[in-house]
Amino acid sequence: MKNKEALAMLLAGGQGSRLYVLTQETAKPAIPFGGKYRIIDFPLSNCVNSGIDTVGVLTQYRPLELHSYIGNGQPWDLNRMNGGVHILPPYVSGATGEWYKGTANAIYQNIEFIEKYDPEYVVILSGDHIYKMDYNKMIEFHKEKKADATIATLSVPMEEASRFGIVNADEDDKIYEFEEKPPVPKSNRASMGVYTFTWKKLRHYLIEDEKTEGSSNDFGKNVLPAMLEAGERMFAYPFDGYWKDVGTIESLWEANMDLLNPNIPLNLSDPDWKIYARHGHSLLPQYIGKDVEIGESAVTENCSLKGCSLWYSVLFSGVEVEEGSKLNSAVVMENTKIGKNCTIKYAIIAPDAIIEDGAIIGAEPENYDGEWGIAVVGSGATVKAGQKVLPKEMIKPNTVKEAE
Amino acid sequence: MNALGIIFSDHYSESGLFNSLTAIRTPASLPYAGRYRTIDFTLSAMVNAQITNVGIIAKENYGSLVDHLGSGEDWDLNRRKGGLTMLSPLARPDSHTIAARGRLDALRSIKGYIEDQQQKYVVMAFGGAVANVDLDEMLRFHEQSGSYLTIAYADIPANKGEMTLSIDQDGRINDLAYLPAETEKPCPCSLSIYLMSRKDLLDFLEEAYNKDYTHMNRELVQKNLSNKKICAYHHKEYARIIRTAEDYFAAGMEILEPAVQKGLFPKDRPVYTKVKDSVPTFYGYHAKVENSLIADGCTIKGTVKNSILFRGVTVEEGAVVENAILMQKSKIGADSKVSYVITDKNVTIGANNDLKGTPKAPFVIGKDKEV
Repeated sequence: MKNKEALAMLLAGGQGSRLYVLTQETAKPAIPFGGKYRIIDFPLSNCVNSGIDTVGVLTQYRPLELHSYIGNGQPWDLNRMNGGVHILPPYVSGATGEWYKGTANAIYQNIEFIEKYDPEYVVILSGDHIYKMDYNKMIEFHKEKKADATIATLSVPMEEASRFGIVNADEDDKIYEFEEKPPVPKSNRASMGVYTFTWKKLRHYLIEDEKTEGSSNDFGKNVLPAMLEAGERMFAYPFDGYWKDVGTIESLWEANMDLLNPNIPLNLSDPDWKIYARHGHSLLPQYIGKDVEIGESAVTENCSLKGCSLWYSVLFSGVEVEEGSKLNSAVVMENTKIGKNCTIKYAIIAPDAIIEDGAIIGAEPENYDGEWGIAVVGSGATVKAGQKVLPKEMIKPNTVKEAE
Repeated sequence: MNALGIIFSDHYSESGLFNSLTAIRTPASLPYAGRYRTIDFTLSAMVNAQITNVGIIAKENYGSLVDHLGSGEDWDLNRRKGGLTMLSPLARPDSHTIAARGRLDALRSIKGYIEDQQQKYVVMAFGGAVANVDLDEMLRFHEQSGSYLTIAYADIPANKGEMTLSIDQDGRINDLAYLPAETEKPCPCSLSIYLMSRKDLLDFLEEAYNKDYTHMNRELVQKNLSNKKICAYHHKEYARIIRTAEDYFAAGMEILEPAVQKGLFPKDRPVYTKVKDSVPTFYGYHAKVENSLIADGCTIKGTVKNSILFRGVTVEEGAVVENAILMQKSKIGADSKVSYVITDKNVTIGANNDLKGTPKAPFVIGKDKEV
């Protein structure tokens, strides 16, 4: 088999516990986004658009939906004879088996897989971010700098820098220090969780890290600091563009709203950098009936809107909204049915939910006295007629919200 | 069902009429209902009846068809065994004509291919009919009636020249007639879906070769009406046969009716089509939309009423689109008005235009044109 210059390893095993009810039954990378995508479509599409045709997807937490979504990789053009997408769950070797203990351990356990392709470089990605990035440019940068490790960084506003892992580098982008969520950050270069390694070096440090007692086998906590300490050449690659960690309810909702904002540079319709997704096959176009008020919204195939009003909202395929309902700043995922005279504001409604007539979900922050947050209805849940779901309230998947 | 599928992408001379939209494509690849092409109905009906071996006979103008079908993957027909096979007139060494004179002539040219297949039955269908026919039920009917050949029909309004069937109580066809004039009153029209055993077809093709038969209806059907049992299978759901731009417009608009949608897109027999990676449709601040079917990837900033929009259509601010069918990537410029208009793919209408057709004579703007 011909060797690959670069392959990508996509860490998709995390639970995403800060997404609460949305990830109660599925892994974070499988979370629907932007009307017809899932989070994992972004790194997968970036790979194929960057010319990386071999991707290992490391899964662990509730992988069923993710596995069937990825399938043979055909929607991303990753069904290849040599390479393509490989799903890599933890496995049993001999008498003992082991879960992935940390991000670095997950890669460590798949050294054999990587060696099969004998790559020069390995790109480490995660399934938590919405962004469009040419990884090939990062690899070129890595080669140019003769680096051992390159970390993609984004300039964030200084006042927000303390929320991120900060990378301090000199004028030549050479890294001299990492700071994890520093109270007083020295710079505003935040790590994006996208790394390029020279495979031989990474292999060495993964094996070393595995031998280190007490290590949490994590890239950010253990492997990267160890490499820096040993004096390896590590560089910060400056990325310029839209990037958003969608690890929380608020940030997931915001990223969906960003899609509706023409001033935010996340253009999904760029023919040169398409975001691919596995699509439902047999869906009629969307039907907009009589007396519908609609503006600043994104709507997808097979939706049906009748006599309702829809502002600043994202509707996934197969959503139905009946007469008199009002949606504002709502994200409604596939096949959810919304009855008559409902009010849905600042909310995320997961797939296959049923919102009965007159239900009220969420509220505008300015019109709410309590502790405000996005209201969430889990997948397959039912909100009974006239029931209220308050801001920040979450309805668990497959449960019924009814009068107490 | 244990059948080979054969789809004709052209009308052939058996139906002289054609329309301006098919000047650049086969009737089977007419865009329909916002994201489909007409052949999707026939092909999906076959796939839904577990026909996994389908040959497409393309005569001419089949670039868009080949592009649409690809490897057949989107219909689950990328199979190691069987799957989708394009049968162009010159596809095989035993193809004897450059352009087949009729459907039967086209079948004669692929006799070797038909011989090589394994299935017991053959379903032959014209890919331009808009109907979601339950072929499993049609086969049950065929077996029960013990007929030599079964033809699917529907009671529909039809154009001059359409083939109508005269059927007796038992479903046997007595006679064929070609409509002398257009009719609004539904009459039993052939949907050009033929079902028979593969062996019988091969025997008939042998005879057809010896006698130089060229036309399905004339020689396979009409000549055999008295000596063989030929039956008609009644497709009771919605169906249309599209010949003219006017038919296309009328049928295209009917898709806005829920009953029509139900008849064409039943839940248990989905219609598959080519997957495209379009983004969701974006509605701008001033968008006004009413009673319209809109595909993904559109940007709508103006007014759209009683219309069908295909993927990637743009309607700019102040534009008013009424009673129109706008095919893929059409652009309607700011403050332009269009009504009773069909725009073919990639049509650009600049700002401040006013284009009007009538229901009987929709204004058709050809592919890639700029106004």
